[in-house]
Amino acid sequence: MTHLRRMTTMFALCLLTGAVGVAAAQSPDPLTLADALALIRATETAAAEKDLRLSIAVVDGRGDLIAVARQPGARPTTTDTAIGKAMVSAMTGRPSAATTGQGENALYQNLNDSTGGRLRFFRGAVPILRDGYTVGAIGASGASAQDDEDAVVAALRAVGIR
Amino acid sequence: MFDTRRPLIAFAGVLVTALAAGSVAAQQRGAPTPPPGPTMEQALSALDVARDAADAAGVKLSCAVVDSRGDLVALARMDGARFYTTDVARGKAALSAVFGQPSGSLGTFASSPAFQNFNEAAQTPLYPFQGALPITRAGETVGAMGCSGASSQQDEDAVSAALDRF
Repeated sequence: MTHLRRMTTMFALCLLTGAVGVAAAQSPDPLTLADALALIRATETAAAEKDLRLSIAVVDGRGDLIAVARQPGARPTTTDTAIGKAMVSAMTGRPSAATTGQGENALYQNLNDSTGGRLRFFRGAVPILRDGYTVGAIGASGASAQDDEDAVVAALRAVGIR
Repeated sequence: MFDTRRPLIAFAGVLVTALAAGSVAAQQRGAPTPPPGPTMEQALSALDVARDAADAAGVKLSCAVVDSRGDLVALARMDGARFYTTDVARGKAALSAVFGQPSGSLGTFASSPAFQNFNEAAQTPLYPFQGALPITRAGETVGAMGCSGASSQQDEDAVSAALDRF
């Protein structure tokens, strides 16, 4: 009887440890298109406050594009800049501002080569975190680098990705 | 005696003044007026419609809207659509916009050396496959929309469903 109880306890313990292990190992939910579009709309709101015209891009944790939109009046070239900054941010898990002036760095050069030269090492994109993991990044382009970054930071705060 | 040169000189003077005034007015204008083409709102709305069409067909697509120059206005990748479909959707749309034709009509052009030149000059790789249609207004191409992720015909069907948003 004692033996059986001990066995049961151990079995329960195993189950519990397993469950905790699985929960810890589970990746966070990936960023969805709905998340991306909500972030783009929120960035528009932030841009309107300062009368900015931006392109806004959201990429996933790998740096692959989910969605991009160019506001009327934003220059055509700003889409690729927004995408490139967001890619850098997702790939490094840091604000793109942290890579400003690092274009000559061998690591970043390799990274840029692997994307076919799409990366842009300027301020204006920040990673999107879920449970502490980088699940994507959002970048803007069209205004000053600081205004670009302020707009996406405000959008992230407004949408509150969890 | 009537001097035939005088009216000519006067006319030239008026012309110079008008040109100078015109250029000053042009310089005083602030931001360039956006060229007629798909606006962001129209593009996002069309992407919504294309997404509904894709859902109904049970496929996952990326769709892109570009202006007449082939420059991206908006793009969306549906959850579950493969990563490279964004480039393909954009590349088909860009090609369609530049030539004002469905990308599916440009298949034979792809094997011509001229296509290589266009492809190298373009800022995004061009994809000469069915799935993008031009957006026309009063007989003029003002942009294009392209989708990628399913069969070429399904890609184009999603575009057709959304074209009335422009």
